[in-house]
Amino acid sequence: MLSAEGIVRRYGSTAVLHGITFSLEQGESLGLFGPNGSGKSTLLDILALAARPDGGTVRMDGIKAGSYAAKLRRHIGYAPQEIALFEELTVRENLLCWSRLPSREAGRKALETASSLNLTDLLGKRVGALSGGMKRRVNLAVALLSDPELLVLDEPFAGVDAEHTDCMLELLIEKKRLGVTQILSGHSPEALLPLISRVMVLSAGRTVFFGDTASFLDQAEDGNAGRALKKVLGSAK
Amino acid sequence: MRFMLYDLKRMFSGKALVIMLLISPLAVIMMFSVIFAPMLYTAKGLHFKLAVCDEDGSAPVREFINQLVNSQALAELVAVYPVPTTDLGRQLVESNDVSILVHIPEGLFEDMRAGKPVEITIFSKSAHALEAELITMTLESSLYAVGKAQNLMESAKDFLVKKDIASEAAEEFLSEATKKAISEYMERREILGKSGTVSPMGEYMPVEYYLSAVFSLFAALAMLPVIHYTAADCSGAILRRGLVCGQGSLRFYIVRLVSGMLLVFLVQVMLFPSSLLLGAAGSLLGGSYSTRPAATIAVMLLSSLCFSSLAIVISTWIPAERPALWTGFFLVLFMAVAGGALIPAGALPLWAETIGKWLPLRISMRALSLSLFNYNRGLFMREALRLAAFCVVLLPAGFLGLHGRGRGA
Repeated sequence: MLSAEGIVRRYGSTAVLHGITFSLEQGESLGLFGPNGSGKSTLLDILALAARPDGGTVRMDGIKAGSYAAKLRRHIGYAPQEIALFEELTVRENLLCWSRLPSREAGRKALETASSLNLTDLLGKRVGALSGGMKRRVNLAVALLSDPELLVLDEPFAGVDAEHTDCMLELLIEKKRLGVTQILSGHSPEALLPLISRVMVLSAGRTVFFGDTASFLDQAEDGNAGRALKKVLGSAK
Repeated sequence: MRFMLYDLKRMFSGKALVIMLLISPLAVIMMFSVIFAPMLYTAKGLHFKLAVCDEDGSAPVREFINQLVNSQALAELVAVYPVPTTDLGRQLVESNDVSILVHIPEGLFEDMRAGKPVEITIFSKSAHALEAELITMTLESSLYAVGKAQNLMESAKDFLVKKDIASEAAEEFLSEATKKAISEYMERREILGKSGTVSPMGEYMPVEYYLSAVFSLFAALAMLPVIHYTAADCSGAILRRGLVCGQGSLRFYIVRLVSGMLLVFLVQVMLFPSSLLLGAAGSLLGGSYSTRPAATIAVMLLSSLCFSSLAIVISTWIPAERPALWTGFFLVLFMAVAGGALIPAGALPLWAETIGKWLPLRISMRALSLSLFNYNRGLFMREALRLAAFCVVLLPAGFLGLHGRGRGA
C-alpha cells in the first residue's frame, strides 16, 4: 500500500534522514519511535506528501508520488505534531474549513467525526479557547474527515487525558479493522501497542529497527516495550 | 469558496482590528469635517467681502492692505474694500454689503516696532461668524509672522547703523525689506502653486495631499494583520495541512491575497463617499474639484492589491512571524516618512524625496489625490500604471515565497 525507498532529507548541508526504506501493506499500523531530533516528524511530513524528500521516492498503491502527489493526497489524512487549526474559528468551522467535501456532506461528516471523538459539545467553541488535549482531538478529527486510506499521525496522544486517549485508540483500532493503513509516532511505545502491528525506530535519521511488534518486544528480556526501545537505541550507539 | 469565507472570518475576528477599521475612517471624517472642510471651503468655495478701515496709515500697513486689495492669490477667497471710517464700515456690515470690517487702530505699526501689544478689531454679524473666525485666525498668525519679521529687520537696521551706514539708508533698507517681506508673505500661493489651499491658520496647506495621505497610510498599516496571519500560517503546520487537505499553495495564496485585499479596501472605503461629497460640495459652493469616483475605486482596488501582495511577500520571504511583523511595521514607517505621508515631501531631504517617489504609499497617495481633486487622465494613468507595475512584481514574488515555504515544510 505504501512504500518508501531511500528517503533522504537535508536542511541546508545537514542530512536529517539517511535513506529510509520500508513498506506497509494495507491495514497495517506502523509505530514510529525515536528520540527528539531523530527525524520522525520530517519522515511523517514526507510520507503524508506534505513535504518533498531531497532523495528517494514514496509510492502509494504502486503510484510514485511527485507529479501525482495532489491526487494521492486525497487518500491521506494527516495530523501534524503542531496543532494545525485556525484558533480564531470554532471547532465546527475548522472541520468545515478543512473538509474537501461539498457543504452539506461536509456538515454531516463534521458532526459524525466530532461525535466519534466526543467533540460534539465543543463544536461551537473557539479553538483558541480549548485546552491542549482538546485541540489535539480536533487535530485528529480534521485528519479523519475525508475517510482516508492512509492516516499519518504525529504524536496523536500528546497532552490528551487517559479517558480520551482510550476513546481515540478505540476509534483508530476500528479504522485499522476497516483496512485503513496507519503510521503513528510517539516517544513511548506502550500507549500505541494495542494499535500497531509494525515498529520502526529511528536514531539520527537512520532506521535502527524495523519489524513486527513481537520481534520488537523480544528485544527486551521481559518483553517491556519501553525497555525494548531503550535497548534498540542503545545498541545503535 | 468555503475556505475563503473562513479566511475572511479569521481576518476580521480580531475585535481590535475591526474597531480600528471602523474608527479610523470615522476619525478621518472628523478631521476632515472639523479641520479640512473649512480649509477647502475657504480656498475653493467661500468667497466674501471684507472692509478695512486703516487708521494707522503707516507705509507698511498701507502696503499690506494694498497687497490684500490687489492680491491675485486672494482674489478667489476675498474681495477687500478700504473704507475711510469705522462708521462707514459698520454701515456696510449692517447692510450686508460686506461680511466683515477690520479696524486697524492708529499707531499700530509704531506699537509693533516698539514691542507693545497691538489689537485689531473685527466687526461682523452672527451670520458671518465663520468668515470672522477665519479672518481672526489668519490675522493672528499674520501679525505673529509680520511681528517676528519686523523684529528681525529692525535688528538688521540697527546693525547697519552701528556699522556706520547712514541712518537714512538704513531706514530705506528697512522700508524696502518690509515691503518685500509683505509681498512674499501675501504671494505664498504663487510660490506653492495654484493648488495650494489657504487654511484658517493662515498657512498654505495642501489638504488634497493630506486627505489621500491619511487613507494611504491606513491602507499600508492594514498590511500588518495580513502579515501576521500569513507569517503564522507559513511558520506553523497550517501550510502542510493545507497541502494535504487540498488547499495547495496556489489556492492558499489566492485566498489570502483576496482576504488581504478586502481588508485594505475596507480601510479605504470611506474615500468613495468622500469623493462623492467633495464633488457635490464643489458644485454647491462653486468649487472646481475635478473628482472621478470611478478612478477612486480603481486606485483603491489597485492599492489594495499592491499592499496585500506586499504583505504576502514580506511574510513569506522572512522566515519567522515576529521579524516579518517588525519588517512590515518599519517598512510602513519608512514609506510614510519618505513617501511624504507624515512629513510633506517638500520638507524632506532630496535623497528621501527621490526614494519616496518610487514607494507604493506615495504612488497610491498621488493617484488618490488626483482621482479626488484634480483628475487628469494622463497623470492618473501614470500613477495607476506604477501601482500596477508594483503588483506585477509583487504577485509572483509572493506566490514563489509561499510555494517555497510549502516545499520546505
